[in-house]
Amino acid sequence: MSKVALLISILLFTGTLSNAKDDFKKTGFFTNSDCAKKTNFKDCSLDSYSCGYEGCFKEYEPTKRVNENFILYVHNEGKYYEVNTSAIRRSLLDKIINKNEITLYGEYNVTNNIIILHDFK
Amino acid sequence: MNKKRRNFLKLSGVTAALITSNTNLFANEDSISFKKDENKISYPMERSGARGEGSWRRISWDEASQKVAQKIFDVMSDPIRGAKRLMVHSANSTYSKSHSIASERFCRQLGAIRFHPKSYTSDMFSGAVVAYGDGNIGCSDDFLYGTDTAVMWGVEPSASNAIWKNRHENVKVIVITSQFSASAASADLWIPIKHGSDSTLAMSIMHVILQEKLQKTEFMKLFTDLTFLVDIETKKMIRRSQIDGTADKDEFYAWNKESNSPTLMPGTKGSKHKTLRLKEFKISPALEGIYEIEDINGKTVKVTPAYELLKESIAKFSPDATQIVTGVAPSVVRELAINIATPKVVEITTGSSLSRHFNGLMTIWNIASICGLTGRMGPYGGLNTKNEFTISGLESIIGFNGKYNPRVNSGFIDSYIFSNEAKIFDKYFTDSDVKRAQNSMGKFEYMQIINAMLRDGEHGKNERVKPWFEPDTAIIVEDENFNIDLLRKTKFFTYVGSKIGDVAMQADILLPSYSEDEVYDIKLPTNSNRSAKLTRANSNISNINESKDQWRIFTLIAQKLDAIANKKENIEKAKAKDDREYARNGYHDLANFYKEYTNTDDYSLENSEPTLATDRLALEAVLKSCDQFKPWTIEKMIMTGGFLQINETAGKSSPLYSDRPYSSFENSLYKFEPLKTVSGRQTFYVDHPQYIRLGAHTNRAMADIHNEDEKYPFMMTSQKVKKIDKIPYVEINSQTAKAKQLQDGDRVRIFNQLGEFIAITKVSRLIRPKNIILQANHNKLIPQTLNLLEMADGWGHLKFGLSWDGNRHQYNSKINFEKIPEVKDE
Repeated sequence: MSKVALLISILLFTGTLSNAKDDFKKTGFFTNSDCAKKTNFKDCSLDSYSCGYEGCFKEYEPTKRVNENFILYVHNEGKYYEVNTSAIRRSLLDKIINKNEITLYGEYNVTNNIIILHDFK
Repeated sequence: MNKKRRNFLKLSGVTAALITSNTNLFANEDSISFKKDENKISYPMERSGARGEGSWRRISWDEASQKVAQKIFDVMSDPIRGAKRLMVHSANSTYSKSHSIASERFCRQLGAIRFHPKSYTSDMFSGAVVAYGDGNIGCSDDFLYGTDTAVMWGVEPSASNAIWKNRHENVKVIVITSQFSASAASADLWIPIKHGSDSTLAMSIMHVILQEKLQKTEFMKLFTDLTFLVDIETKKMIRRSQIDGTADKDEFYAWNKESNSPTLMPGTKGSKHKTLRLKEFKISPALEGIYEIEDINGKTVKVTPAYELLKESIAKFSPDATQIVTGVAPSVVRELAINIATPKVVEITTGSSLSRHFNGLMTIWNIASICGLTGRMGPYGGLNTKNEFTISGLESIIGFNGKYNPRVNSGFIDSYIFSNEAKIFDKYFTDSDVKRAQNSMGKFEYMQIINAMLRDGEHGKNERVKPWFEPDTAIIVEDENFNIDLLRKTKFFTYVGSKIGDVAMQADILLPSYSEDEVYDIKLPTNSNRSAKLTRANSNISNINESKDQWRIFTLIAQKLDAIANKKENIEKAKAKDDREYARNGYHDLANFYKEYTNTDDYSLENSEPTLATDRLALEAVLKSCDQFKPWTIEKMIMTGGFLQINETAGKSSPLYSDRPYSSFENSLYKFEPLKTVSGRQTFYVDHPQYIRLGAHTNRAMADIHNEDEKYPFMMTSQKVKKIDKIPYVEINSQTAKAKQLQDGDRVRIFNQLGEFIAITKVSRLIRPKNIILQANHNKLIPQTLNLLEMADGWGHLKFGLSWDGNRHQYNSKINFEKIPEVKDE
C-alpha cells in the first residue's frame, strides 16, 4: 500500500471513529450542579463555577478554584446530564457557561449519566 | 419679571414677552406641577444688539431655523472651512438615552466637532482608565450595603447620601475628605486628609499592605501586569518585537518559573489567546527577581517584573514619611490599610473631585492599585467611580451604519487654548511650583512639551496627540457651563435650551427647547441597579410657549438645510467634502440631509430602520433597538408607574443579575476575560515616554500644583453647581471669618495675581481654616492646567477617544480675600 493510500485509510478510520463517538448530542443550558439543583437558569452566580455554590466567594480567596463541575440541563427532557470536560481546553468553556441553547457533542456514559464532551456549539 | 431680570435682559424693538415671567408646565413621569421660572426661553429669538448685551428680537421658528440652516450650509460647503469649523455640542444629561441623542445624530451626520462629553466637565476618571481601560466602573448602590468596609474617598457629601439612607450597621464606613461633612460625622472613621495629598495617602496605604504582607500574590499574578518584564535600564516593557522582531507591539513577556525562561503572556491586546488562564499555557509567572534575556540583536538585557519597580516606588512612602504631607498619623494609615486589605468585601468609592486636582489621575490610579494588590474584583469589591451599563443599540440610532463617524474634540484642551491659559499658566506658576508637581521637571521643559503637543493636535493632524479644532460656527445645546471665550470667537452661534444664562446670552439665535423632564425620554442613572425611568411630555405645554423637543428642532433644521442644498444654485456644492475618516464616501450629502436624518432615505426604508423625527418616535426606536430595554414599550412603562427594568445584557464586565447587586469585573475574575487594557490585566505599569520621564511609569505620589506666594494663603476650590448665581457664594471657615470680621451675607473681594471678583460670604464650620469653597463651576482666578500624564496619547489603551481624554483642573488656585463695605442693592 502506498504511503498516500495508507494515510487516507488512517484518516478515514479516525474520522469514522470520531463520528461514532460524537454521535451523542444534546442541547440545553450549560450550568453547574448547584444552580441546576436550584433550577436557577438565568441568574446563576459566577462564583458557583469557581468554588461550587452561589455565595461561596465569602468562604474562599478570589483565586481559589475548587469543586468545579458542569451540568447540561435539557429543557425538553427536563433532565440533567453531568459533563466531563477534560478533553476540552478550559478557556473555551468560559464562553458557554451560563448560556442556553448550547449543543454538546460527545459520548454518553449511561451508567454514570455523564456526557464525555468532545465538542460544542 | 422682576427688576433685576429686566436689567439683565434688555428687550428691544418689536419684542414681545420673550421670557415668561410666571409659570411653565413641568411634567415629570405621571405628575404635573407648576414651576416658577423666570429664566425660561419661550420663543425663538435673534440677537438685536451686541453679543452678551441681552437685546433680542422675537422671530418665528421658520425664520430661525432657516437662518441656522443657512449658516450650516455656508460653513459646510466652503472648501476651506468645512465640517471641521462647525461644532454641535450638547451637555444633555448622560442619563438621557433617547432625547439627548438628537443633537449627537445631527452632529455625526455633518461630521461636526463634538466635545468629549466627560472631559470638559472634569468627570473623566482618567486614573481608572489607566488601571482598567475604562473610567466608569464600580457597583450599583445596593452593593455597598453588603460590603464589610465602604470607603468614601473624596466624595462630595451629596453624592454619598445614598449610603446613609440605607446603611447596614455591619458596614464599616470610612470617609476620607479634607472637609468635614454630614457624611464624615456619620462615619465610623473620618480621615481629615490635607488638601490634595490623596495620592500620597494611597501610596502610604500600599506601603503598609506590603509591609504587613497583606497583598494577594496569586491574584496579582493572574489579573495584573505586575509580572510583566521591564528593562531595568530603559524602564521599557519587553515587547515581542524586541525579542523576535514580530511587528505587533502589544505582546509582552513574564518570567516563567516552570520553564525558567521568558514567556509570552496570553490575554494581552496583541495575543491570539484571549484568556487569562495561565495554567493552560503552563505558565507560573515570577513576581520578583532580576533576569537576563537576549534581544533580537543578541544583546543581553537585564529585566525585572514590574512588581519590583512598584515595590521600589512604594518603599519611599512609609506612613511615618508621609505624615507631614497628608496630615494622617501613621497609626491611622495602618488601621485604614488593614480595614481595606483584610475584610472579604471592600468597596472604595471615589468622587470626581479627586480628578479635578492637577495630579488627580495619579490619585485614582493609586487607589485602583490598592484594589489590585488586595484582590478586589467582582463580589470582593474594588474601585467604584461611576458605573455605567452597556446600552448597545444606541449606536444604531445615533449612527449611520458607519457612513458618518464622530469628530470628537478633546474636552479639556480647547478651553486651555481659547481662554489663553498658556499665558496665564506662565504668569501664575513659578518654576518651583511646576517642579514640585512634576517630579522635578521644570516650567520651561513642561511648557515646551505642552506647546509642541498643542501644535501637533490642531485639527487632529497627528493621531498620537489629542486633537483640537477651532469652530467658527456652533450650535450649543443646554450647556450653561460652556467656555464663553471660545463662543465669543465664533462667527455665528445658536443656543438650543430651556433657560437663559451667561452662555445663551452670547448667542446669535436662541431656540427654545423643553427641559429634560418635559419630553419623552428614558433615563438610566449611573449606580442604579436595574431601573430606568420614563419621562413624558404633556400636551398642555404647547399652549404656554413655543418650545419644542430637541428631535423636532433638529428635524426642522435638517429640513431647511436640505431645502437650501437642493436649490439650483447650491446643488453643486451640496456634497460637502470631508476626510473619509468622518464620511465614508468622502462627503456629507446635504441634498439628502432630511431623509437621512429622519431615516426616510432609500437605504433606511429598505432596511426598515425606525423613523426619527420627534422625541416619542426616538424613544420608541430606542426601546426597540436596545436589547437591554427589551421587551418594554412606552405603554408598558406607563402601566408600571414610569419605570422599566433593564435586562441582564446591560452588564458591562459582570453579569447583571436580577436579584443581586452589580459589581464590575466578575467576567475577568471567574471567566478569565481580559480587561480592556493593553496587558489585558489591571495596569500597574505604563512605559509611555512621558510617564517614564516624570518617574510615573508605576504608581507614585505626585503633588498638586499651586502658587506658594504668601500673600495668597487660602486654597480656593470650586464646587459644581447647577444654578449659577450672578454673584457666587463662597464658604469660609467660621474662625477665619471671625478673624476677618465677616458674617453670613457679607460681600468679600477675592483676589490673587490673576484678578479679583466679588462673592457673598457663607460662614461654615465644616471646612478647613485655610480653604474656601466657591460655589461656581469656573472662575478666572483658577488657572487651567494640562497634565502631561493625561496629555499622553498613542500608547496601548491610552488612545484618544470616548474612553481616554483628560480633565480641566479646578483646585490650583490660592487667593486672599477681604470684606468690602456694604453696597445697597437699588
